[in-house]
Amino acid sequence: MEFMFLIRSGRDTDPYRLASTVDELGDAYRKAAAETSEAGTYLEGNALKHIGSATSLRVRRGRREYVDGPAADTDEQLRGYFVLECPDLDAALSWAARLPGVQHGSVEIRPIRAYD
Amino acid sequence: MHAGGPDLALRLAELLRHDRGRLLSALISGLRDFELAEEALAEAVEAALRNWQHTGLPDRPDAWLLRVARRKAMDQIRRRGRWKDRIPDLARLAQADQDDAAEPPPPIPDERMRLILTCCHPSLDPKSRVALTLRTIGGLTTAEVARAFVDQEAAMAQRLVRAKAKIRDAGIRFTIPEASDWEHRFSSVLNVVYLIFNEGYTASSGEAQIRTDLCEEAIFLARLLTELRPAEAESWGLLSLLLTTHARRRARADQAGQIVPIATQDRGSWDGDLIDEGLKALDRALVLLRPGPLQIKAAISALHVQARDHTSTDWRQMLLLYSTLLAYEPTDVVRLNRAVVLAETGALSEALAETERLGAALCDYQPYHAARADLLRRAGDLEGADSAYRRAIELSGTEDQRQFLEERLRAMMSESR
Repeated sequence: MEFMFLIRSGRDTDPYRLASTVDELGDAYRKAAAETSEAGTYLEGNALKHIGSATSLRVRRGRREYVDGPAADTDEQLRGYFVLECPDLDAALSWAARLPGVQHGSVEIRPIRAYD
Repeated sequence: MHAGGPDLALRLAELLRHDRGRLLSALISGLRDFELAEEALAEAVEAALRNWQHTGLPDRPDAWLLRVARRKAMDQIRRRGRWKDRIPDLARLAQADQDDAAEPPPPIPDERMRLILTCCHPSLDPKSRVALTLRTIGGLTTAEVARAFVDQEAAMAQRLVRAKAKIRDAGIRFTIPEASDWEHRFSSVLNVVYLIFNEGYTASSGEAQIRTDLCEEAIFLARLLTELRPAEAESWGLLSLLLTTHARRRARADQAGQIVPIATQDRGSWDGDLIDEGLKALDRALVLLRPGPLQIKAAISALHVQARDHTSTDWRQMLLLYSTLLAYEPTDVVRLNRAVVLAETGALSEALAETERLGAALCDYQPYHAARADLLRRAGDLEGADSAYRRAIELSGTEDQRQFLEERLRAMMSESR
């Protein structure tokens, strides 16, 4: 089963607000990518640029509505993601527990829908 | 209506109450599909109600139901398109069908451990875990589960549907977890059983009979866990705790339905058989030499039920147990309970000091104020006790609690005159 792991964290733990942690974050992601690759579970993974770089778009009645930033102004924002191939949810949870961000933020585990 | 009608329905209901969990587990094991298994079993039950009217009860009604349910499931799979994907399932089911055709039919394997683990998966909402466990292992109907939570049946049915959809879609497998996951998964099961008992025990709402049924349901599940996993010390600890707690239920309220605290309970009304079984279960736990919080709580409860009266309770031993419990559960509630025991050992001022330290954290916790009121009263601070009683009364969730505390306050006031 393929799972997407959506990594979120709050304003206080926004790595980009503290320049020193940006490199740490990069290192943590690279480490996670390496570990999951070695285990044969890695499919894809990326850190996203800071939320200030985000643009959100809605089209209503043919007109574009822009938001300068993420789609919703929530406490926790998306920082990065992984896509892993796992046999079941328990295996996915084991990996999630080791991902960057889970200590201070959250990881949402969503199965990817398989179309035939 | 056929003469055997109502009697047959009753016996079938009894059989299901007893065997539904085992039958469902065996089906899910083969089908790998919760919903399909439940539908198939429901269809088999309908068929039984129709057929057994004429043929009477078969020798092995459980084997009959399993065989028919399996066939109904196979029909369903074929009817749904894309059955080519299900060929391995169909093959497996067909083989099982062949095996079962033997006379006498083989015993139904007990896959209930897998089923309980699935129902209690930590990714499910705690309330959903409880509801699903009660429904599938406990054999309660959806209506009965709804009543236990004082929910509308429709809302409970929805919750169960969503939980099963989650199991199907989120990748929760019907399997015994890997060793590395066992701890998380099994402690979730123990927690669910504990919650079920607590739901019945705290009696914050709902009919008295439902509350007792829930406690007994929890005890049934706890016993089952010790049967399925006799090497898990915490299962025995849980069973012991539930038994020795449930043993005291008749003494907890007087004739008028008023709360009677353990200090003044009629110990003669405590259930001796449950106590015996509970103490034996604790012994079974302790020989395994794998300590844990449930065993400690069981040991605390055991000290209560072994005491002839309140004053001869081994409070020093209990204090030790609470201190040990703190290592596993460093919570303010445990600290509060420890303080109460501290007072019983004679260290009243130390106990009061401890409760003061907890004041900020537990300011909205009713039992905190109730306990503190009692300690202040014993220390002679009637004014302090008065405000603590009033605060506890304010925070009381039930009429019983309120009346009990008001009575205590009244008694204290009249004594002081």
